[in-house]
Amino acid sequence: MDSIKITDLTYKYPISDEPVLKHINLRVPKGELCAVIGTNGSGKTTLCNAIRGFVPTFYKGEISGEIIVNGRDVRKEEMGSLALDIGFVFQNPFTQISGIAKTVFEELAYGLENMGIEREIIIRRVEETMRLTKIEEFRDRNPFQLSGGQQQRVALAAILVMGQPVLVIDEPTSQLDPQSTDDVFEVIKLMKNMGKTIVLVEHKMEQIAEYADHVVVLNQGEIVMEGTAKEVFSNPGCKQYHTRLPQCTKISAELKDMGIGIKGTPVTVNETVHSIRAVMNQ
Amino acid sequence: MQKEMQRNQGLNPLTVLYIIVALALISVVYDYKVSIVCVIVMMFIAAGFGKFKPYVTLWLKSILWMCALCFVLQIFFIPGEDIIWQFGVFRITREGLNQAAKLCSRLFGAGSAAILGFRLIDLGSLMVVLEQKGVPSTATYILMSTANIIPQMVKKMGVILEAQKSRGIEMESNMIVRAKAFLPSIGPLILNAIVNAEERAITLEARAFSAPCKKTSIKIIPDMRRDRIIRGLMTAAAVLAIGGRIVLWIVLR
Repeated sequence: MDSIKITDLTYKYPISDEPVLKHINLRVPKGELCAVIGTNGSGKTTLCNAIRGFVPTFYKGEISGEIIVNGRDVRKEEMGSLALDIGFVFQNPFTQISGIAKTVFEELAYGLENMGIEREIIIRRVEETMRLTKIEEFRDRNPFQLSGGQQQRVALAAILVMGQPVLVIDEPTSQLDPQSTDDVFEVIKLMKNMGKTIVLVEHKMEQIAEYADHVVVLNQGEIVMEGTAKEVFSNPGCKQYHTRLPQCTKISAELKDMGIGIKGTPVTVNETVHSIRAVMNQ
Repeated sequence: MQKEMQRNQGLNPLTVLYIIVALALISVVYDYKVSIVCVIVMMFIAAGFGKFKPYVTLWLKSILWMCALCFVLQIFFIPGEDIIWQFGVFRITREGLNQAAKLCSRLFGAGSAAILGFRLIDLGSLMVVLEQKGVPSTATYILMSTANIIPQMVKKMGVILEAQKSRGIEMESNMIVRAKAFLPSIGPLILNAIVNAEERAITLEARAFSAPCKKTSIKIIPDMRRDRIIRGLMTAAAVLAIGGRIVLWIVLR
């Protein structure tokens, strides 16, 4: 079953001359992680906002086409009620703190309070989520006093605790250091293992190769390529859209150019190690 | 946690708010003698909550200074006939003295009450109670987030000042130089706040702020019989005080 189904979506911001998204068709089956890549200005964030229903309700503009999330037509739903179905995490960790909670514990509880969950259940769910996302150590800290990476993990946990089946995550690591990036991806992996359907915008190709079931390349508002990470990264056409290849893929390509007979196009570390071993054993 | 909360804060925050508003009202409608009594009562209340020292420190630094300054300015600048004291162009008149005492007494009572509230009431708990009493969550959010975000803005202001200094904007000199630096430092702060407001609105939407659900709270704020009694008494006291004032006013006229 498709959790997200987008048909012929075209959208134009109120002040732009051209549509930012042009005839987008996308299906994300339940439980899959769909990564969206592309250059800056290619429409990735707008696509996220469209799935969550922020365009056109919040940002206005003209929209056509259909967006169905979990069987509900996003364009016809109230922006508020969609929060119960779709979790949303974005780039800037500093503005993703509600500003109302004194501690990280309260910050996580805030979404559940808004959903009207009973007190005992909230406390149990917050405790569990803090344990799973390994943020227990910040429990009583003021969320504003955490570092960017820690805040981003709190933001992810604050969405995860709400338990929506679909998550839209827009460049969660673009402002973070390598260690924090790994921490954030640990949380994303956890979300995936919990069976969430995830749309993830990201520039870190290594992580995409590792975690994504499906990769979509956006260019100037259009989907220009899609498929598994392997299909996309092994396609020579990929480079023309200025998407960087994962390091592993680059290494194997160079080895191939040197005449070393590596089979296929490995995209993850494991695959590359295997391929190189296979060649060395020959 | 619950027990601890009860011990620390015997009264419901709303009850404390009632006490403070009643005291402020009483001191505003009567003269300075009543104001002084009210402020002494406030000191006792602060002591009762174990907050005597922080309250008095803040009080000395803010209200007392403000009232003294205000009093001095008023007595010299309000014109009148009945001169009590004169030195060159400076003169104190009876009318000025009365007027100054009246105004400062109000400022003294209301100001002392306001900072008592600031010291005694946990804003978060008060908001929960207000929400339960039917105040819209948008209103409580605005109050709550303002209180939480102001320290963030102050911090950001520091960052902006540093950034502008590193770009060569002079900040440490005479008044004119400082005034010139005002715009390039306040501009980015305001723009920043506007951009952040949009993102924060999205954050709130993501956290189901406008979801069509009845909100709950993890905070339990006890509201006992004694709270209701005190609130009743305070309302009665405020009404009596205002009523008494009106009667006095009619009689004295």
